[in-house]
Amino acid sequence: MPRRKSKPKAQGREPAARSRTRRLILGNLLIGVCLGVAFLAGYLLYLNHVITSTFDGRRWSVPARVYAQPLELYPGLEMEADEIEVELKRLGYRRGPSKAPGSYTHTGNEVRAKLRAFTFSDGPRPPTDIRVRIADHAIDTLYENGQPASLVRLEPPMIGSFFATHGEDRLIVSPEETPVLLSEGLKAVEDRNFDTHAGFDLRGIARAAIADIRSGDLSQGGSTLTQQLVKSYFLDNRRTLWRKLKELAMAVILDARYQKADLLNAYINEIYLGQDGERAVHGFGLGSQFYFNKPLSELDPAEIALLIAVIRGPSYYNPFTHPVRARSRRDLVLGHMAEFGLITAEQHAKAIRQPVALTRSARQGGGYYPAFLDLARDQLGHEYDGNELASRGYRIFTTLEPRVQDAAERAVAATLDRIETDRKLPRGELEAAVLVANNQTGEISAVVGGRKAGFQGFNRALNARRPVGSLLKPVVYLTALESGNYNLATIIEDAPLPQIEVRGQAPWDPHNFDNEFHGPVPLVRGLGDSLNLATVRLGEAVGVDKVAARIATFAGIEQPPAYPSLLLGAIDLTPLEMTRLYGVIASGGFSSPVKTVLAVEDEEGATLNRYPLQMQQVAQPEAVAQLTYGLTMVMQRGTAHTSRFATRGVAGKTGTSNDFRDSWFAGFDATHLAVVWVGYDDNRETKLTGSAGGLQVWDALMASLHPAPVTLTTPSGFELQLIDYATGGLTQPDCGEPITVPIPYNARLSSVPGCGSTFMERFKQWFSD
Amino acid sequence: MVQRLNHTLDRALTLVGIVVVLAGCVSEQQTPYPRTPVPVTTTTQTRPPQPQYPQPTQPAPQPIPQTPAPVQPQQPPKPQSTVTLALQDEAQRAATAGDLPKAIQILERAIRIQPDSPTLWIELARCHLKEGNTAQAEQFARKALLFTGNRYDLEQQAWVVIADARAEKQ
Repeated sequence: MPRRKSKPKAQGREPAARSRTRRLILGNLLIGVCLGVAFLAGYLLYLNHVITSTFDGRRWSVPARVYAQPLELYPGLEMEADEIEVELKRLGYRRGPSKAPGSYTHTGNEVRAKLRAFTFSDGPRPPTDIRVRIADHAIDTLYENGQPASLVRLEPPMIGSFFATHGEDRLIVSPEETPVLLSEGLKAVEDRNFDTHAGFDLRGIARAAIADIRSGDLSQGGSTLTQQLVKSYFLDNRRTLWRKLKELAMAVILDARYQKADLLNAYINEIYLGQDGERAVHGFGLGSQFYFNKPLSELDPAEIALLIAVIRGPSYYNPFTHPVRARSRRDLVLGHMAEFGLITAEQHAKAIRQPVALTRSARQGGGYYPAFLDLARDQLGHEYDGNELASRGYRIFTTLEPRVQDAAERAVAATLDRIETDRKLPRGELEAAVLVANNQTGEISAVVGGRKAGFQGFNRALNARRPVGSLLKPVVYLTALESGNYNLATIIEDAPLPQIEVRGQAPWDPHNFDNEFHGPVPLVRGLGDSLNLATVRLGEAVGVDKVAARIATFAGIEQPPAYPSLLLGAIDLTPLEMTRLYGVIASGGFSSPVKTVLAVEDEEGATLNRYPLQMQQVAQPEAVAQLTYGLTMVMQRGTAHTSRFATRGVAGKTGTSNDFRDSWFAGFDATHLAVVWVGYDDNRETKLTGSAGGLQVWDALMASLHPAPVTLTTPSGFELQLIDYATGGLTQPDCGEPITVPIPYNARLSSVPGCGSTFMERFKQWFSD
Repeated sequence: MVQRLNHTLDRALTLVGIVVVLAGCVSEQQTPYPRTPVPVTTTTQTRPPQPQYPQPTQPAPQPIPQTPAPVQPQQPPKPQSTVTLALQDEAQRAATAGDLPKAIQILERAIRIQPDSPTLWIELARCHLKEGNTAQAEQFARKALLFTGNRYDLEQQAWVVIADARAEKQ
């Protein structure tokens, strides 16, 4: 600045001095310009670094996709045609004859479908035509590409993604998966000179300005796709001049450094297309799933046009909330498409007539099966950090069975509503949790964390630690059976207990649910009727510490203190821990770690991790076989006899904590174990027993799953005997309450008075001993 | 219990000498099985009587008995379904090609469809044994024993895996 001031003075100087001054000025100017250029170059280099690293980084930032178990179809599988249709719809298949994959027809007892290609974790499957015929509530015949087939699996439904905390979710599509109409349509509507301009487009700006002046609104922007891409990267909507220039510079740099095709593909995967709860829907791949529940390649012109229409203002043109606005902009897009010859006049006319038909994917609002995903994240957390899961584009195959999960959610919602209505309880306050596992593998099939299953919230299935009450009793009986000193017909006393003093606590004085004493009862009835006094006596006889050790092993917890009250379930456990515990019984004596993830693959399809089955035999199979018989008697004769499946050969146990605060039920059929908790979050009394709460939910769930009888086995050295449930004596089919249970060959059983067998049989009994 | 297991184990180990150890991870198809029990039985698990060759893999809805149908010990296990037989063949091919993880993956898929097939659990145990995972090999063989019923040949195969697993661990 001072130099400039000196200029007028210099004019009157000698020529030599003047030229020196001029040289000085010129030199300084040159230095200034050089500095300026250097600064600008440095800044551009900086911008170049920022934009290219962002661009390259973003190309790889893909949240891990999570898949459920694929449905296996095979002759003999119990399933209705309608249920198969539900599964196809879940995958976004459209009904109606079509040559394209992702379509099906359903007539009477026959379903035909064109399955999409899918790369399973054990190999790829090309598009396949299947035909399924149902007879007698089960799959009768199955054809694959016209040939009889023994087994076909549907693609696994995608159930969610591990997007990062800022909520961006996307489903990457490659240029090959992008319909030409989409890429050409985008150019026609947003950036006509995309293929030729250098990142910015003066003609486009001029045209947009003229169009805006003509129409009187600001419907046309002048930004190129490249500029929009840059803007999207930095999530800044401030419209300052400096920002605009910076954006422009970055757009020019991007354009110079990358191929047009790469830029267009990045745009297609980047652009913001809507909000789904906490989840921001980015890119057309996910947009297509979000609005239409099908892959991008299957969209028709009207659907593609709608997605292009939404770009300009995903909330303003939200087709869910503003269908009229969205439709008029869609029609505008269709007009451009026709104008550019991308669609024929015929296609245009047809598309214009189409309503805005959206298919909400099965679930909205932040996560699809949030309670299950919580558990899966726990398992993955041991090996993968959140950033990895949110950005590397992994594929995660899980054990979730959507059919079972949906049944469990429906069972919770419907049953709690009904209980509140029937019992005139305040509406909407009762809560519940459900876990379903595969009996023999221990894999988790479903998790319901609360009444509003679709919303992320307190996950009661994993985190609600509640008193388990009688739900724990089977461990007492199993410990007794394992000792070898008891069988299901062994008589135990249901009689008053001596007062037990526990230091520092009120005297413990347990009594029975009905406040009566039932005297001598067989072990099977102590369990079946959930008799407290008989159970405590049995538990004390086998050793409370032994029972405590079994509880710890089965539930995977630290050994609880061996207080006698433990025998009646005075311990707080989560539904997940109870699922592990009952898993040991349902599996015939094997303990498995909680498992939700089967395999993790990287973006290229290479396996990063497989989680094979793991189990450990922790209980005597003979004792578990007897206990399972006992648990079927709980259903047939005992506290769960009100179940609609009481006589179907399923096994289960009710649980009620003190003062009816917690209502539990755990039960299994031939394939699934389900544990249910019902109660209030604030631990209020529910006035529900295990059979009035938990069992009701369990029944509703099982009703959707075609329960099959559990496999009952008679251990070697045992034979099946008909005994009286009430007294434990040998009986006849028409006498007393006859039940069939395995009894050791060498056990001496007396006959029920008046129900004795014939003389000859008694005679034989003598000699068989 | 441990004592009893050890006892059984001793007997099983002696068997190893006389029983032809089935080579390979996945065995050939079943050979005719002896009618008389071999002396290694500890857990003879049984199941409700099933038709000898039923076509459907899952039982059709049956009239519901008031009490479980009386079952007698030494009943045959459910025959393996054609569905899982196909998968078992596929697993065998994978194992022969040296891809044990894939064989295991396919067997697990089969087990999800038919969890009470003793053969599938034995094959799974063999694959784990071949992979050197002796602990799980033994556990899966024990699992198979829950379902062998009166198939003493299968029971014997399971005990052979257990014995091999124990021998390899040492």
